[in-house]
Amino acid sequence: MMADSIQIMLSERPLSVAVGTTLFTLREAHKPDADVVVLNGAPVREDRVLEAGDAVVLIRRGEIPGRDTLEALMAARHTPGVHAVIKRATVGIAGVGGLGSAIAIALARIGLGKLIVADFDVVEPSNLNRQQYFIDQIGQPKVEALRDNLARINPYVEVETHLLRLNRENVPALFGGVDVMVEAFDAADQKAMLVESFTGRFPGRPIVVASGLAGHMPSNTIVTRKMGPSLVMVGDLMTAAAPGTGLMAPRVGVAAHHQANAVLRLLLGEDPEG
Amino acid sequence: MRVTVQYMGQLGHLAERSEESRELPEGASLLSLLEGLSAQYGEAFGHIVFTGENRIRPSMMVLVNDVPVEKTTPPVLRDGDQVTLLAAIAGG
Repeated sequence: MMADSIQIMLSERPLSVAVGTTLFTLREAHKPDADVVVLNGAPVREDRVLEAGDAVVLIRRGEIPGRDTLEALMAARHTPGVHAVIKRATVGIAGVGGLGSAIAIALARIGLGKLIVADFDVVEPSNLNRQQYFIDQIGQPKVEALRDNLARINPYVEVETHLLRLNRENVPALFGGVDVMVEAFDAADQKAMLVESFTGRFPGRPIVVASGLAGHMPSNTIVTRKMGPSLVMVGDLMTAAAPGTGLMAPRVGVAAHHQANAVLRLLLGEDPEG
Repeated sequence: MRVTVQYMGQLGHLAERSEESRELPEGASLLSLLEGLSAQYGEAFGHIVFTGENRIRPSMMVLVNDVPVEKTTPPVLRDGDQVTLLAAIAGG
């Protein structure tokens, strides 16, 4: 004898529906004003008959999905095993200018568990050519502006902010709990300081560094290199920010996303260099 | 004793090589290696590696056997060590 109902999931809750129920009749019954219909992790625009085990999410325009719903959608997009690793991870970012703000956004978008970010600076008008802030955030401390922006992307990512200038003494105290450390400073001596202070205190813990990303040289000159078991270096190693060779969003973004992808690969136990 | 030196980025251009093997006196320090390299490879190379007070420039990254070293206490080198030199570049 055939069953006359099937079990599905609606917004992460089990639901029994009649055999032959379609996606759109389900929407009509539960949230007729839903603008987005997501079936098994992917948005759909055409009606179809539901099958046992289907997972449906209905979202109104402007509605913020709950934590479990967003997690389920992320897991479906990332594959569950990958997402579980991302969700458990903590990443530190030293400096949230052009590199750090873009790296933080990339990692928040994939649902990283926790970010620890530190920077002493405030948003200035010239920063807007490459840094992931908005014109109405000028004057706001970068870590606070970034926290606000990340919350608009994924409010369930934990963000710990530190408004201070990093040095050899406070780096180990702030970043002792990270799985991967990211160097995203502007100043060259700060880059070296972070590598020495972090690696000296946490030998073997991975750190992803950037060096050489200014101007509008070809994107493909920026590469990801492994320099030993724990140090990953991104950049062309040559092109410094200087008059006539400014830092600009496209190339800084290329480097930032090299760094973010290196972080992801390290978290997943993969070789960042490939 | 012999050590291998790897040059990355601008230092490689100035030294016109990416790697070389160098003979050093037993017990030579990292500092003496860098002084020798700077004397050999010219003023521009030396300016990247050292400050005017002959201290290793804060932007230098030095790895010995793939491990970053603390420049304020440069280590004594051993036979077979691999030293990697990179000057960090401003921009972020």
